[in-house]
Amino acid sequence: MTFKVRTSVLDNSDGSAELTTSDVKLIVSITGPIEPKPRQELPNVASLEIVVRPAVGLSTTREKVLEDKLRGMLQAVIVRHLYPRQLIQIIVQIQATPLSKHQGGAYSNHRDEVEYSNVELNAAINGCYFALVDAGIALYSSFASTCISITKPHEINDNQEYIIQPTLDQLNNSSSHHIICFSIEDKKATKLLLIDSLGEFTEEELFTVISKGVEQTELLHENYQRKYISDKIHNDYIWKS
Amino acid sequence: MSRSVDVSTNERAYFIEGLKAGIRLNGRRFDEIRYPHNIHLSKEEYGYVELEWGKNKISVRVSSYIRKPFEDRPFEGIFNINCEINSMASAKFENGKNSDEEVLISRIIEKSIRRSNSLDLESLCIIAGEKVWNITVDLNFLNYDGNFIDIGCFGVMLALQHFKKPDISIINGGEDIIVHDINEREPQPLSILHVPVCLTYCFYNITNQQEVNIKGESTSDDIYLLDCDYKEDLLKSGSIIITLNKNREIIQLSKNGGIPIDASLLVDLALGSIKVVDELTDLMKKLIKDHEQQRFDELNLKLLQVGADR
Repeated sequence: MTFKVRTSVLDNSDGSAELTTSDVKLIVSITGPIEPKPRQELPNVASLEIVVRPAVGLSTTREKVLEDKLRGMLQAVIVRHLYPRQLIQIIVQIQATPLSKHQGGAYSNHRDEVEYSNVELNAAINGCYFALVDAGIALYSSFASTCISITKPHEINDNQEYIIQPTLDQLNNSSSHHIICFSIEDKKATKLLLIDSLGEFTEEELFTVISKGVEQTELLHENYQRKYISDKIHNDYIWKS
Repeated sequence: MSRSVDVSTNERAYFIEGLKAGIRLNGRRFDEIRYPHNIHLSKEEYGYVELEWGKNKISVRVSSYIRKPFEDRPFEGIFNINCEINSMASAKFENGKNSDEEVLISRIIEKSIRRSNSLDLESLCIIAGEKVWNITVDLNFLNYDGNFIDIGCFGVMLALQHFKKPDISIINGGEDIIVHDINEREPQPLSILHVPVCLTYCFYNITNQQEVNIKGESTSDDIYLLDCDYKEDLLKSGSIIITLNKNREIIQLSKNGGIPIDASLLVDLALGSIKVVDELTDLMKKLIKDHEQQRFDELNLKLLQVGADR
């Protein structure tokens, strides 16, 4: 799995992060806390303005759904009461998706037939984490998200496999895939912040996915998030030593 | 980061004094552009380009799909450019609301590239009246540092030249088509008829004699700068956008308000632009060529070549 992050890539934003995973590339910018428009203002907490921009074409209802899911998740981790009557703008620009890479940028089908997958949401959540840290927005806890797919039952023995960070081919051959996001405190996954599933699955499968999600998010936090943040702090304060 | 940046009177005066002495605050000559750097042509996909130009940052993606043509134009493919600017670029652009500046930027880019017919639409036709290619360019502005038009135009043209659409064959006497996978047959580049390059000049009235200028008499005192950055853009009193190509054709010329300028100056500007246009066109050509060569070497495409070198 490739997982590359660059932070502070944009000069005009307070925080930004460019996340490149094996099949998704996106850039998240955060501006805030800033003065909101009167209709966005909330008297006791900060309001969030979340915009998701697709890799191809104009925003559709699909991007609106992603925005809503992100909002629900981020509202639970950002310490919003620290910034009353302020606005935090979060913009997620998706740059490459598994589909765009699959055909080398050429969609042979009509756009409506492009298959829907949730891997962008997974990358968006992980991208938001680094951008929020870069912007210095207060968070209750760290958070990490992972994608797990369940393969179609095997023809002979009905065995099903759980695949972590599936590729496009693996997604196409799966019966369901799930996005699991956990909050992480003291290197331990604590609260389930978001779970989003697509496809058919049983309750038992979902519980397995969640328990695997705990492991995976902890691993992601340990191996990537901590490393990037400590590198970042080291580089940001290089003048101090 | 605040939504709007106000320039103080002192700052403005300092800037104008600098211009009078022939100095730009960013150290460039008056007719010097910031050259694009950090240009990334995607190796995994055709038609995906990221580049920086000063502190401007954009990403451009070209994508294609097959659809039915418009009824009144059965022989022509469809080409459109999406460029929506959101507050990622700068907090001065509002999300979901087209500001005048944003409309101007997208109109000029559209006029320079799409309406100048730089992409041959007839070559996108597969079966007349039935199937044509639809080419969509998504232009994403990530960071703003003045002069989105020039960089946007450059990025779109670079991406169009980088893009390749899958090869197709027509079977059953024109009834059906096969879209070949890009790994099966080498995809085809787009047919680009000419490469427009936009250049934006900003004008500054350094004498500050408003009356003289309204009459349109004094222009000798006006100073023009090529490729303004953020601050220079805020202080400008007028601008002109010229689009040219290497064939010495003026594609588009747009002067939207601001101080009046001498007609003879236009000729000077167009002549002076030629050098920059040539440089930028050659740069694009070189980038594409190098990229192709790199791909050719990395994928060992030499093994697939048929025929001897003559």
